[in-house]
Amino acid sequence: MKDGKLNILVTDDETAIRHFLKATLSVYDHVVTEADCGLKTIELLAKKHPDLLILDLGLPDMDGVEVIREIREWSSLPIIVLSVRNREEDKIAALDAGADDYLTKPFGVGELLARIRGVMRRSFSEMMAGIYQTGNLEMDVSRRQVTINGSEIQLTPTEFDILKTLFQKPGKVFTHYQIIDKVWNSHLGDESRLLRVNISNLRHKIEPDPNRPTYIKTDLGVGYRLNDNPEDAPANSF
Amino acid sequence: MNDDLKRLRLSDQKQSHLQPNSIADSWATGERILVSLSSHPLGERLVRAGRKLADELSAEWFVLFVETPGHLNMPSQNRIRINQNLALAEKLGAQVYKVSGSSVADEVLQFYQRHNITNIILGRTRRPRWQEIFSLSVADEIIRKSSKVGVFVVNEDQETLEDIRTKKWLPHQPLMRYLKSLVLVGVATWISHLVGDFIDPTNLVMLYLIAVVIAAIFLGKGPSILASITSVVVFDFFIINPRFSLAVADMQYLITFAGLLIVGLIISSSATLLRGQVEALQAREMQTQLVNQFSQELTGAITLDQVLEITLKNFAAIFGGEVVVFLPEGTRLHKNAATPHYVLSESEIAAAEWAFKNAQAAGKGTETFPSVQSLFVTLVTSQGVTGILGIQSQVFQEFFTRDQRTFLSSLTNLAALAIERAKFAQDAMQAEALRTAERLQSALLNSISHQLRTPLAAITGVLTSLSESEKASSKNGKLTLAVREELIDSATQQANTLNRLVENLLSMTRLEAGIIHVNSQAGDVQDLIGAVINQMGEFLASRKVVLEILPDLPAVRLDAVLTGQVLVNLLENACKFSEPGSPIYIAASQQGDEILILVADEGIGLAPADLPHVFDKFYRSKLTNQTAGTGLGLSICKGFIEAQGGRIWAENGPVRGSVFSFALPVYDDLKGEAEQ
Repeated sequence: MKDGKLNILVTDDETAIRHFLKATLSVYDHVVTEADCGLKTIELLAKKHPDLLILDLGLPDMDGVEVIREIREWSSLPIIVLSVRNREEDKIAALDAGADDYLTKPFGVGELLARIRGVMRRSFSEMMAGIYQTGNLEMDVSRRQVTINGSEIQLTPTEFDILKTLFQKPGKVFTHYQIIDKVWNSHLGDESRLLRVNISNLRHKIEPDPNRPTYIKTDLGVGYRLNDNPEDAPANSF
Repeated sequence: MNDDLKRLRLSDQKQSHLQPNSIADSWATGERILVSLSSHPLGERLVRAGRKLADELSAEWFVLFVETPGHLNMPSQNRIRINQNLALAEKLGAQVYKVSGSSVADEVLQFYQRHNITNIILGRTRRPRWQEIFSLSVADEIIRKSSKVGVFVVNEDQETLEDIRTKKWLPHQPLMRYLKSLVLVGVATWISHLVGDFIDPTNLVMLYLIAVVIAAIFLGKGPSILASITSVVVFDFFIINPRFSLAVADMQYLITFAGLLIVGLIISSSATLLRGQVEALQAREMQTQLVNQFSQELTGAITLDQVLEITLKNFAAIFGGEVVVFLPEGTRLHKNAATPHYVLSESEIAAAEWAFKNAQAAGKGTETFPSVQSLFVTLVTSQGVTGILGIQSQVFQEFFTRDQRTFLSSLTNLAALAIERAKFAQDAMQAEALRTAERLQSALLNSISHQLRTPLAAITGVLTSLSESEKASSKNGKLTLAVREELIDSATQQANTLNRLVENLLSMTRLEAGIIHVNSQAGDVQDLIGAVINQMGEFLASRKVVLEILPDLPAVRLDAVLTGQVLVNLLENACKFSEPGSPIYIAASQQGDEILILVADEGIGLAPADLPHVFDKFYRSKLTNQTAGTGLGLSICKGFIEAQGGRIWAENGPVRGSVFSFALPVYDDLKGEAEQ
């Protein structure tokens, strides 16, 4: 990958979608390889080592979620799911399996490019030092300190852990399951209520207007994500 | 019942001294009151007393007038009075019957047996004492012969109703009748003895013939034959010389004997024949009346259930037993209705099925399954067997007379026709409903195809004009950049519209197929509203969205995705039906066990006529016909909210605009955990 030019593998069983993606992405100098089924995807991944996979879920030979699971066993390659399935269960399944983002068809090209940028940025920003920042919100992990507009905010350990989790991949949606897994390390059943209460408390502490949160965004029925671009006009997620 | 009766006040202002006389028969269903009416002026009081008693016992009541041969010569004022009283009874809600017969008492008694009467109201007129020695009044006769029934008597000279405790019941024992016939002969002999000195013995024979005729008419064949024979013997013994001996001095008296015997026997048989014919006639008249009543009641029945209920009621009343109706469903019989105490044995069900398959009666009194307790008859119309009717009754013996058969079949024919009619009506209604559904469906298809094609047409138009512009060689055919951008924007908008429509259709289909998956969990209203506003982003960009979310609202039991979709639809509607730039309000508050969320706008509001229909599928207000929409959004909202156990409603704002509100239950921690 040079100068933002990416090797992208596009998997979709619909030729029209593949052609459209190839034409569009080529305009931005990305190199597109096409696959029309799960097995071919995995085979091409090993051969071509692409920088990014854009994956459809409804494949003729195996389910896209299965493909993600298989890839995740040996690769942390960024994966964006592009699917007509718009039910929250499907999104959660794909995200829990390890997809980095999820976009439902039909979609705008602008939206797709933004997601690609977000995913790529995250995959390179993970190595940063222990200080995270988005908008006016800053988090110093090693000193366990959170500031907004420069003034420090007192967070409970749980609130801190939740924020830290979201900060690990700003812009990425973390499902309830994923956050609970990271923060509580268990699934006893009561955590989703705790998560809901903690998010609400966290918002009251960091959001200028908790009724219209700008930092912690909710994807209804799926999870939460940290807004990596708070100054932007809020775009439709998913 | 005792207390009820004691509380009764049958005559105005005066407490009647009623004594409950007996306990209603166990098979009597509710109270049934019979008023026996005569041409006497007392009639009106009788009718009114009947009405009162019926009211207080909430009983059915009947008024019976028995026309006897004596009524033929009735003075016209009596006839007018009778008609007036019968009309009055009808007005007061009685079922009025007019029957003819030779004896008022017998007719009343027959009627009371057939109609399960529990109380009889009678009038008793003042009569000279001496008359009572010789004959019973109608009232007394009824009182004597009716068992197990309450009898109330309205006396002519008393203002109050008098309850008569039923006296000892005297059955029509045959022995009594024979004794009576002997008494008649005795009376004839006694009179003969008194007048024997002045009248020729051959003429005295007439007295004996009178005795025989009376016996034949009132006592039956046996007693009258006995009367004939004893007449001859007694006549010989007491009247003919030598008296007190059976010897005959004058041989010509043998002819008198023979004449007396033969005439007596002929009278016996012909009078009893007449009596039999009268009885048969009366029975037939009664049957006709029952059939008429049944058919009248059926005329009023509209639904199949009503027809079945009336059929059960009438058959049970007429035959005094349990009744069941089977109707076919496909090729099998199905028990559709039965009186409460009907217990069907397996062999009875088999009999019913046999009757249905073979279109013939089966069960008791027939050749098939004769050992079962019930008789199963077919309900036949021109269309074939519409059902099977079963009766469990003591009335049926091992065989049927022709009369019984005819009567039964006239009743079953009526029932069959009524059932068939009700079924046709039901089918017609279903067909009509189906046609309506089909009409709706085709209207719907038209609407959907129109709405799908419109954005497609726009998109195709934009794409082809862009394509033409690309191909054009001269500058003339090229679109300017500004036009191209405009075209592309509109095509994108149309594509979004199309996508929303497809989404709505899918939601609707899922709702209607009942496969909406509700994942109710504790949800945060503030989070929900914030997420929806964020999600709608640019759509709401030109609007001032005013939020009034009360702090510290408890968690709500909801499916975040479905409720979010509801909010999106409501907000889209609010934008659609109000001026661009006007504010939109979202408020959340708690009311009891519910959280109330409302979306209000300052737009055109809702026409009062539209209010009840806004949530109907494909309902489009006349006011908003110009605005693009599918008529699906709100019905989906309703479906989604109701699927979560909430409710949704629409009203007009206090000043202007419309307010759409929905309420969802507060999340109950204990309940929520118990369900997990």
